[in-house]
Amino acid sequence: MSSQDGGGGLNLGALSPDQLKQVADQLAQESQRLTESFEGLQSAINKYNRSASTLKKFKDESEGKEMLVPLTSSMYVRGSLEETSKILVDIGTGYYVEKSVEGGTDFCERKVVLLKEHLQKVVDALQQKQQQEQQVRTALAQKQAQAAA
Amino acid sequence: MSSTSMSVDNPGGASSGASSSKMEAEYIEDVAAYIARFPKGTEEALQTMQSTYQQYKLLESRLTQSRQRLMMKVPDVERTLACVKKLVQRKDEGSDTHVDFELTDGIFAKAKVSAENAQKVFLWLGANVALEYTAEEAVELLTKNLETAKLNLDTNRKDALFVKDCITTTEVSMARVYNYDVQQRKQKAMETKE
Repeated sequence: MSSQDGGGGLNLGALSPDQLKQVADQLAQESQRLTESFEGLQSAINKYNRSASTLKKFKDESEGKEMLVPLTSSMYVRGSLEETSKILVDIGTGYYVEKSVEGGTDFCERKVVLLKEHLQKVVDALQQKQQQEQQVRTALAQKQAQAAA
Repeated sequence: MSSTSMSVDNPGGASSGASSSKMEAEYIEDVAAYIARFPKGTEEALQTMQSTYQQYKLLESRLTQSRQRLMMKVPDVERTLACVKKLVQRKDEGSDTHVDFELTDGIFAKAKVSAENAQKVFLWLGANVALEYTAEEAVELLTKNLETAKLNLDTNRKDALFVKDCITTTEVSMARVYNYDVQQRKQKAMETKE
């Protein structure tokens, strides 16, 4: 944010209470957005972690194993595993790639690492925003106290 | 995995037409006469209307919720139905079906469904219950479910429109009673002044 590199501390004193409130609310909104993306990333990480551990178990399954095949989320039919060495991976935007089970596991694990990096960035940004908001709110409270006195 | 329910005779949670006559908001023809019905006058009238209004609002949000559920359910049942029909077709041809099924989120694995196995399917009924059906029974059940869901969606739409009307009527009534009261007070104040 510009308030940080523009010597925000100095600026804050020059702003009117209304302006301060506006800035604080804006910062709160940004925090909210960051929190949402934090949650999104967290659930994506869980998803890929789950997929990776499932794939590790899947590797040991044998071809021809009897199973209930889920054709839709609410319908199953008896069938057997046909291929346990290759799987299809949804890589997003409607594209699927055939990979070996190891390749799929690797893909999921790399995704987790990548997402965790993103997550860390979001966490850092979130902390910064919250700190800034705190500063602005303190300045606002001071102004109001001055005005009341 | 989502646990979309497809129960046999679940009415989909829609209050099927139950709201019709007994709930209808009353249009006030004569405000003075309406207020006279309440022993404590305007205040009680407004309070009563406010509580009816809140009931309507609650009903509206329930209808919206069940509508969202149904909107999700219909395409799901349609997909399942198409799936079963395809299986029946493959079975009649006597050929095996090769599928990529979703092993976990975003990962698909290959499986084979023999023509013999395609005769029976398992339908998830919700509440942690799945039942085995013959393909024909499944088609029948799903078709019926689809019809019910669509019917419920239709009822839901009608109910929502009805409730919307009631809400508007009640809002207008509240405003009119309130304005009438303001006018009365003004008049009284004028009279005492004179």
